[in-house]
Amino acid sequence: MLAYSGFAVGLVLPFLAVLGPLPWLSSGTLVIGGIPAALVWLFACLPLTSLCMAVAWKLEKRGRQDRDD
Amino acid sequence: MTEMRVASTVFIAIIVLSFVVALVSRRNHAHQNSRDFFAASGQFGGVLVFLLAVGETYSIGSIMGFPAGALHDGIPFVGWFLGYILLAYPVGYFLNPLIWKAGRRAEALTFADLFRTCFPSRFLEIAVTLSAIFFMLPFGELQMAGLIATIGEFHWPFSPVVIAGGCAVLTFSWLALSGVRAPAFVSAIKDSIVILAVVFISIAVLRHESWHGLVQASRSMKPATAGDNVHTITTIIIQALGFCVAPQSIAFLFTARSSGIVRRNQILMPLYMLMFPLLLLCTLYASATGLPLSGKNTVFIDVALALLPSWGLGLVMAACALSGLVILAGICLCIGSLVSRNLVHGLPDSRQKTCAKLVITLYLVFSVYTAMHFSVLMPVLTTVYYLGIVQFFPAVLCVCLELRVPSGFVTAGFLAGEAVSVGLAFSGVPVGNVNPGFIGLVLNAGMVALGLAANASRPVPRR
Repeated sequence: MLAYSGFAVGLVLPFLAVLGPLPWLSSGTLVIGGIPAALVWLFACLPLTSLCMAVAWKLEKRGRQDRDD
Repeated sequence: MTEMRVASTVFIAIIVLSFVVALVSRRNHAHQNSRDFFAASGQFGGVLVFLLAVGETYSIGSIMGFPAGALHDGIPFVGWFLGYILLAYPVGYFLNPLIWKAGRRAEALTFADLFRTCFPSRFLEIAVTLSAIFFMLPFGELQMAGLIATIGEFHWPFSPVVIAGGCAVLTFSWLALSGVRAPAFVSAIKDSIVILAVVFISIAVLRHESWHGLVQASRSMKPATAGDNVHTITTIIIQALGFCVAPQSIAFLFTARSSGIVRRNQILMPLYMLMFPLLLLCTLYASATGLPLSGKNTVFIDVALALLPSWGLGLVMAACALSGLVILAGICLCIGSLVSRNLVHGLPDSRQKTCAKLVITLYLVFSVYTAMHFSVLMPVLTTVYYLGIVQFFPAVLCVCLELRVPSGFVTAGFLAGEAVSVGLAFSGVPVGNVNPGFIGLVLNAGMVALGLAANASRPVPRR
């Protein structure tokens, strides 16, 4: 179960986060702090993707510990 | 004039330093066998593997091309560029450790070695090797063209062919000194200098232009259209997958000491991309001030020329030049190993290194020649790079997951994927803005899946 969660958080979530809103944001006129929302969201996705993989790493580690126990 | 002399001195000092570092990388490894020459005997720790892998992200094309592309093509370009590199990391997080383990099982030094072990087909091995070499051919020319443009800004009394020849000699000498160790060690200087150059230039932009002006410029960037979006998303998907199975990326994985190192590095890599928002500041500055540009891809250099003191300019030029040289060295090594191990079969260990050095020399001569004569043709070949490279993905997945698929299905899928992608890209057949590589990949994956199903339905032979 934890392996599937790791896959969902580490791979599926970053793809959804980047590709999901991209068409809507990059062709729209929404701005955040005066900057096009597409740019703000893409730049925010950089640390968020790292975070997703770090969570996947933790989940995998916990899964391994559970198996060992 | 004196300013350019200072910039030239800083530039030359950094290039000399890179040579010294390449020399140091040879220490304790003066007598290398082919495993050490191509893959550092799989001894690299996290930092060196990280530097090698991340070098792909910060090539001379990225540093000079990203600010220029953002200026000319607006938000769709930024979305595509950041999207595919960023999403390649989560794919690599799961795939790269599996590739590393498959490499260890097969004692592989090149990505084609993986195929040789898993699919008993010499034809498939030759097909993937030739295909990889063909798709990597334009990269040498691209780096050379970038190097000539960068070094040309010094207005030294040398012709472009002399500059390109000098770059080729430097690259060859790095590799001849210590194989893959040289670009890995030089990457440490390159990355430090790239970070310094980008940070300096960003500070200069923020000092010379108001935040309000930069924000205004960001709002004037071209938005995407509905057609752009379909193309951008399908392109991001195939390039994110293709990035992970590129022959040179796979070869770098084999230098790592463990699969854990490979996986941990992927977590950090998106943070390294935080330099791109800073690079975008150059675009916004050029747009806000209407900075006159000396060429289509020179936004970064032109902003550096306008804002940085002469030593800073030398630093920026050295960062661009080292980025080009490190990538060039990696591609040379990859092509050299593919020819000496997979095209020419059965060479003894000592001859593999000699053969690779000969191939590297020929490739460097080819790159210099094409940079002088075929600058129009090469960007066309670069366009098809990912269309072709991503077609390795289904086969690499089979290798990693140890799926038993008959080699005929893998070969047919791979060749059909490449033919359909390249055919659609050049025939102009309307495909609703979907990237042709995506269509080829779906066909390719379908054929491999068919092979998997056919194999599964076969009765298991009794012992």
